[in-house]
Amino acid sequence: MSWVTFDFMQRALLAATIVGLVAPAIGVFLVQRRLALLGDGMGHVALTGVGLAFLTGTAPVPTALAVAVLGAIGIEVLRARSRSAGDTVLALVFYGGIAGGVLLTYLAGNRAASSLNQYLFGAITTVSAADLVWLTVAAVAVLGFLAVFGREMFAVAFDPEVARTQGIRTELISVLTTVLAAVTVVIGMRTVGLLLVSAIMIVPIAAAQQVSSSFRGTAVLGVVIGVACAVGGVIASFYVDAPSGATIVLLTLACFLLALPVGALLRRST
Amino acid sequence: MSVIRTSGLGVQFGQPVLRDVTIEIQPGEFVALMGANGTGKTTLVRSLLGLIRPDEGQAWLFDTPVSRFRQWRRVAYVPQRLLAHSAVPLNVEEAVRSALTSAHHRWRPLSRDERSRVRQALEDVGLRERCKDRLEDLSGGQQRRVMVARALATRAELLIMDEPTAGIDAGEQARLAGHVAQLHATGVTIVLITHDLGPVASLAERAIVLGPPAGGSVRYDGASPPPHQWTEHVWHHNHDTDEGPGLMEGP
Repeated sequence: MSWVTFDFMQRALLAATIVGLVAPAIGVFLVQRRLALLGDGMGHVALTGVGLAFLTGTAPVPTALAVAVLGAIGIEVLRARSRSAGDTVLALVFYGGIAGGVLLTYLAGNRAASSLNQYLFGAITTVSAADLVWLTVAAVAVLGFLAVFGREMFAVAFDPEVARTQGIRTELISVLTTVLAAVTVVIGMRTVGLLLVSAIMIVPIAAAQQVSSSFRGTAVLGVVIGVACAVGGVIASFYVDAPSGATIVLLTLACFLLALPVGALLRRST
Repeated sequence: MSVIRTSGLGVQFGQPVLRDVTIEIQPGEFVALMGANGTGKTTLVRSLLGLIRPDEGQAWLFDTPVSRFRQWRRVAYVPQRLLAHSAVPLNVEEAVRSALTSAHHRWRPLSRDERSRVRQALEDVGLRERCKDRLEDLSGGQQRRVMVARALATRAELLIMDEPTAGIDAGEQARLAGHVAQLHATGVTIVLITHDLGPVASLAERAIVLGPPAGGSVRYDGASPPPHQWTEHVWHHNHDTDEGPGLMEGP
């Protein structure tokens, strides 16, 4: 247990716990809305934010957060107002986000390009105390919104038309869901990286839904899997000297593969 | 006070679907909305619920223009379509409980009374024992009963049901009719779109028949015919002819 004594590991474990907790909690609503790839799209938008931070010399996390939130609102406006289908809008965001990120990083110079990797693939052991403060504030905000608006988000994800006849402002709730996903992407940016952050939002939920028969059960089990894999992935990557983001995601995929036969057995026994 | 009122309501989807629909429904009425396929019954209901913005005319709910109506807890709606396949597992009880979600009390969990209403609604549609089952494991008819249970649990003053008995077996239709009759007896206003000549439809006291020409317009508004005359009733008001559809006669 020597790793517990290292400051960087303590910060890494705290960051991993935050990501493991928040990402599946918002991911369950994305899966229900059939927007599992939204997190990927937001990751690409956040990349533009990182590039902008390199170019302007501002802090990457808050800049990426601001750009991702604007991108989230843009996605929902495009989904509602344009004639393009939802997945086409996501594709537009994918391309625009990654192109903007690459261009801005190039304009910022060679040093920026070399540090881009830690945002693309995560570098949890380099998480600073200041990063942790940002992560904690953002996570508390996401969980707070989920506590207040979670039931409306569920009603809209379940049946948006009937939700409107219940007096729920469905467009606003859809925007809120996407914005919370954007914030979660930025929370995960420094731990699992922008390219893999969507996995920890979605894969724990995909694993949980194999064995659960309720929405609440899926959400709770997804969070448990998310936290366990995030913490386990950080510890495992310390011992095997592997990239933490990839280790965390592979652990969640292992949980999914394990859940498949367990779920089949459970369904057969009922 | 009227529960529903429309004045010259018109909706177009490229071509007219509803034209100059003017109706008024008073509190406590049980109205069957009838008409052949494509005569705009569902469009009329969706306009009343604010899901479609009419191209002409106006609609009011409880004397408030639908565009400004905010008291949605007074209204319950059973849509025509079945539930979409849920991407995340969802059990029957969760589906019914979500009908009680509203922007008015987002902070607090369901009260004891609301939880009891959910249980009672599931009992009323005969699904109490299946409340923890996955929604996707239910048959089409059972899923429709879940949608009806969602509306019953709200205890709304206006219940709008679009083909609620489609795919439901005769025994369950009779059971549902009993509960709908009870609701009606307590003063709930009920608007029912139906093609079914079953026990629920037979409770209607008033019929509004939509029909051509040029988009659905009101062809009949008056006392509901006896159920065995419904087919001919709708036929006559859709075809401007004294000849029946031939369904009631032998070869």
